[in-house]
Amino acid sequence: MNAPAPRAGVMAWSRVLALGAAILIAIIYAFVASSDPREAMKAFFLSPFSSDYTFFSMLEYSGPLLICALGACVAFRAGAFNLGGEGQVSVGTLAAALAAGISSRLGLDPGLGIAFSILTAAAAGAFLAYLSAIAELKTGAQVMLTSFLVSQTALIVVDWAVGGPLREEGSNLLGMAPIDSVYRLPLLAPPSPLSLGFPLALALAALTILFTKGSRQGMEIRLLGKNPSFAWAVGISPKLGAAAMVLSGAMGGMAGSLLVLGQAGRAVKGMTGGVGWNGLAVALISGTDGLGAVPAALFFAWLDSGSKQASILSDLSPDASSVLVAIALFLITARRRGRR
Amino acid sequence: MELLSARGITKYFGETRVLANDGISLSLMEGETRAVVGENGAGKSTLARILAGLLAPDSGTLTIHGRSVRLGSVKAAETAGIGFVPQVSLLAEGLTVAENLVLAREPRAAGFLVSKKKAYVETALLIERFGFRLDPEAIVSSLGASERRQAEIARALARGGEVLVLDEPTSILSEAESAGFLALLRTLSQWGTGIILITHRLSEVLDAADSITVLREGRVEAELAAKDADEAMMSRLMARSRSASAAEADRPRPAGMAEDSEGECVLELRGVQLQAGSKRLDITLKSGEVLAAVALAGNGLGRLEDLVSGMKESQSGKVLIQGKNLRGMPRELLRSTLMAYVPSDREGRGLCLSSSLRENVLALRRGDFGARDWIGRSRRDKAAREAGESFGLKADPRSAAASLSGGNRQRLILARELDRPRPLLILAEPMQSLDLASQAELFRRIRELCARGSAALLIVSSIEEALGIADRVIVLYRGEAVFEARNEGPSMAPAILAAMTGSAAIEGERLGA
Amino acid sequence: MMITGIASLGLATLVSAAPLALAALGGLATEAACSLSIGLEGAMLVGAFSSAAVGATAGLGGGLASGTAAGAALCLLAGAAAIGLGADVFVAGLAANLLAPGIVSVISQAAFGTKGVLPAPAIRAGQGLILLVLVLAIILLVIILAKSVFGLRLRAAGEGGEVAEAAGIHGSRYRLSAHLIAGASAGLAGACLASGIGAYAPGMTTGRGWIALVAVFLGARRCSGVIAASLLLGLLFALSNIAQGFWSGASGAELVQALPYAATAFAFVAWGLGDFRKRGRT
Repeated sequence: MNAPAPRAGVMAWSRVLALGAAILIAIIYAFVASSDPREAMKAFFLSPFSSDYTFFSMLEYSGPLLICALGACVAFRAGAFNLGGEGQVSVGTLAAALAAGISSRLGLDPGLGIAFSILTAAAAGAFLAYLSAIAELKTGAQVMLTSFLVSQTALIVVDWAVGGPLREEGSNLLGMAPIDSVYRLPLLAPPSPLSLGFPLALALAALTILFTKGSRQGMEIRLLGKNPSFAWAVGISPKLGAAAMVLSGAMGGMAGSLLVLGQAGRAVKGMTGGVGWNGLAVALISGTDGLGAVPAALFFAWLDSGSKQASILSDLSPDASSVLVAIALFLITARRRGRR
Repeated sequence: MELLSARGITKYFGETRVLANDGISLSLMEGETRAVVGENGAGKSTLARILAGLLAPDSGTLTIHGRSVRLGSVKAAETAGIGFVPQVSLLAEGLTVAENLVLAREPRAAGFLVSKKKAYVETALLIERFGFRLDPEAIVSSLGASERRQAEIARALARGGEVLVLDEPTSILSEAESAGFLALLRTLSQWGTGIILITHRLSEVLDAADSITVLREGRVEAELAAKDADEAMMSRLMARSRSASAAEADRPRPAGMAEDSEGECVLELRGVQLQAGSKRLDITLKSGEVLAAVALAGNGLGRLEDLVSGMKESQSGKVLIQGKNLRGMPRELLRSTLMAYVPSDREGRGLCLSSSLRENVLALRRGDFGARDWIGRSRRDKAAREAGESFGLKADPRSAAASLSGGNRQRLILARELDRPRPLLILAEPMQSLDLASQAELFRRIRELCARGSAALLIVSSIEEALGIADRVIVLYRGEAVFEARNEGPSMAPAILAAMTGSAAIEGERLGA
Repeated sequence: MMITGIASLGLATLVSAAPLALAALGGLATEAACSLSIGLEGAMLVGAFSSAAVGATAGLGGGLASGTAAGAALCLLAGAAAIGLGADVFVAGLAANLLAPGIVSVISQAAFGTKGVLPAPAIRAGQGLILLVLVLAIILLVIILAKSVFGLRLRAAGEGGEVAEAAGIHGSRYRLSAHLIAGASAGLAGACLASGIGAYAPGMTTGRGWIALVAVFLGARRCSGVIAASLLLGLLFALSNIAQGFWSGASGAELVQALPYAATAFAFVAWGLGDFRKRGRT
C-alpha cells in the first residue's frame, strides 16, 4: 500500500535542503580541488553577479533550460520518461534556422517570422516525440528507450546536416549561415546575450503551470501518470499520455528555437550543449509540477555560469555544476516514495 | 502426543483499527485435523499467517512438541516443522516446481551452484510418497489450478512437514478435485502430520476434520469435536449479530421487481468466451433488473468484470450496452453517463491512492466544472464533501485517499459511482470492507436506482450477497454459465454452492448448448 | 574473399556485441529482481575512465579491476537510493547517468588537468585478449544468474507478493546485489572499451549502455535471448563501422553512425509489435 503523498510544504523544504547540500558539497569541492579555495568559491558563487553581462548571460541560458525542464515535467506527469530532449532541441534548432531562411525569402513581417520559426521548431520536436508516443500506444515499446534512440539518431543527422550539406559556404565554423537579423529575437540588454527568449520562457512557464495545475486536462494527465489503471477505469484515455509526450517534444523544439534565434543567430553543430539532459535533471529536482521549475532552472543556470567562470578564473572544472545537480537529484529522489 | 500449542495469540492492526486476533488459543495432537471456521473477517487468515511466521503477533506463545517457537519468523516456523499453504499463492511463478520446493534450502554442487539433480530427486521422492501428480521440472506458471494446489502443499510439506496450515485450500477446486484433496489430507494425517484447515465449506469440515474451532470477531467462540457438530450449529456459532442482513436474506424477492421485466435490454453479452476452451456465454440484463454473477475465484468472474466494464477488449463475441457495441464507444462518455463501475480491485482500479479524496470522488464529474473551477478549489471541495457525506464519508476532501480506512475507501468509490442514476451499474465485490449498516444502505441504494430504471450486474463470490439483492442469479464455473435461475431466497444456497463447485447434480435451470 | 569477408564481419560483430552482452546481462539481473537499473550507460562511462586513469600506472589488470569497481559503486549508489531510501528506481538510474560524465570530468580535471582524452597506453590490449576477458565474464555471469543458488534466490526475490519473504529470503538484499552486479558488468564492459583504444575519450560509450537495455527487453528475460539480441545489435554497429570505412573522408561517414540507433529503435518497436499481437490486446 502506498504511503500518502507528503504535504506540499514538506516536499518544498526537502528540495531546498537537497540544493543546500549540493552547495555545501560545492564548497567542499572548492576547498579540496583548488589551490586557492577562497578565489575559487568567489568565482563559483559570486561571479555570475559580478557584472551585468554575466548576470544577463545567466538569465539567457536559463530560458531554454527552463523550457526543456517544463517539457520534461509535462511528460513525466503523464507517466512518460522523455529521454529524447537533446534530439528534440536539436531538430528544433535546425527547423528554426530553416524557417528563418524561408521567412527571409518570403519577406515576412519580423514578428510573424519569429513566430513561424518558433512554431516550426515546436512541430519538429513534437514529431520526434510523436514517433515514440505512437510506438508505445500501438506496440507497448517503452517511451523511455525509443525516445532516447530516436533522439540519438536525430542528433547525429542534424549535426551532419548542419556541419555538412547545409554548412555555410567558405566559413571555418561548422554551422549554417547566420539568419537574417530581423528574424532573430531582439536583444534586451546588449552587449549581453539576454534576448526576448527569456521573458518568452517565463511566459511559457506561467502557461504550463496554469495548464498542469489549473485545468481539467492537467488533472487527467496527473491521474494517468499516477495510476494508469484507475485512469482508464474512470474514462481517461491513454491517448492523453501520448498527447503529453508530444507536447513535451514540442517544448524541446521550442527551446532549440530560442538557442538559434538568440544571440547565436545561427544553427551550429553541437549547439544543444546538454540542455536537454540538464532540463530533465532540473525537472526531476523541482518536482515535476512546474512550480519549482523556474527557481530550479535559475539555480542551475547560476551554478552552471559559476562553474564556467570558476574554471576560467581558477582551476576548478567547468563541469562541476552538472555533478552538483546530479548529487542534488540523488538527494531529492531519496525523499520520495515510489515504485521499486 | 501434543504436537502444537498456541496460547493467547493477539494481533491488532493499527492502520485499519481492527483487533484481528484476540487471545486465541488452540492445540493440535499428532495426526489430528482441526478445522478453523468463521465468517469473513473473523481472523482466520491472520491466525494462519501468524502460525506460519509471516506475521508477528502482539502477544502469544507457540510450542511444537513442547519446544517454544519464535513467532514472526518464517525460518523459525519452517525449522519447527510448520508448512503453510496460503490463499494467495506463495509459489514463484517463473520457477519450476523443484526450484520452489528447495528455495532457500538448496542442495549444492560445487559450493555455490544449485544441484539440479539432487533437487529433482528430492522433489520426485516427495511427489511419489504422497501421490501427487506433478512434474518437478514444470514451470509453475504452466500448471493448472489443482496442480498448483498440489504444488503448494508439496512445497509446504518439503519445508516443514510436521504441521500443515491450509487457508481455504479447496476454494478453487471442483467437487471431484476437493474429494481427492481431502483424501490426501487423510493420508497425511495418517503419517502423523497435524493439519490446521481453514475453510468456509462446512460440509468439508464435517468430512475431513477431527475437531473444530469456531472463530467469531477475533475470538474463539467454541471448540467442538467434529462428530458432535452439524452445519446448522456451526453457522449459528459463526454468526455475528445479523439483524440487518438476515432480514435482507430472508426476503424472498427484492421489492419493485416485475415478474418478467419488460424493460429494454441494457447489457448484452453475445458469444463471449471467458476462458480458453470454455463454452461461449450469452447474458442479457434488462432495465430495472439486478443480476448476480457468482463463482469461486478462478472461474471467470475477473474476466467477466474486465469485459463488461470495458477495461479489456473481448477477443470473441460482443458486449453491447443499450444495443451499441462497447468496443467502439468513447470511454469518457460511457463512464460519465452510461455506466457506473465499482471494481473488485479497489486500490488498483477504484482509487488513485496518492490523489486527494476530492479528485477521487469527482473523477467522473470532470465535465461538470468550468475553467474557473479548475483554478480555484472551493466549488470542487464543496461538491466533493457533499458527495462523500451522502454515503457516510466524513473526511477532509484534500486528504489523500491512501489515508482512508478500507471501509471509507469503499464508501468513496460508491459515492463516486452511485451519486447519480446511470443506466448500467457494474458492481464487483461492492460490499468489501463495509460494515453491516453500510451494506444495508448499499442494498437500499441499488434498489432505489433500479426502481428508477437502472440495471445492475453484481459480480461476487458470496452466495449470501447475491441472494440478498438479486432478481436472477447466474453461476459461473470454469468460465461457463452452469446455472441460472430466479432468486428464490436462501433455500437456493445449496444448489448454487453445488454449481459453483462444479458438482454434477444440480437443481434449477441448466444453461447448455 | 567472401569467407574472409564474413569472418571479419563475424569478428567485428563479436567485438561490438560482447560489451553489450555483458552489460545487458547485468541489466537482466536487475530486471529479474524486478528493480531495473537504467544506469548502465553511466556505469560504462565511469568504468572506461577509471580503467584508463588507474590502469595508466597499474597496468591492464588494475585498470579492468578498477573499472569494474567504479561501475559497481555507481549502480550500487543508485540501487541504494531506490531500495533503501524509496526513490523511484528509474529516476535513481537516470541520476547515475547524469552524474557519470560530470564526475568523470571533474576528477579528470583535478587529477590530470584535462577533461578531454586521457591516454593510457598501459591498458592497450589486443582484440583477442579483450574478447577473451569479456566472454569469460559473460560465461561467469550466465552461470551465476541461471545456475547458482544466488541466481535462484535473486529470481525468487523478483517475484511479486511475499514469495521471497515466505521462503525466508531478504528480497531487498538480493535486489541491491543485482544492482551491484549490473554496475560491475557495465563497468567492466566500459573498461574493455577503453582497453580497445588504449585511452579514455569523453562520451566514448556513445549510448551503448542504453542499447544494452534494449537487449534486455528484446531478450525476453532469458540469458540466451539477451545474448542473441546483443549479437544482433552488435551486428548493426559492426555494419555501421564498416560502412563508415567506405565513406572515408566524406561526411556520409558521420551520417552512417546514426544507423545503429535508428535500426535498434526499429527492432525494438517491431519486437513490441509482435509481442503485443501475441499477448492479445491488453
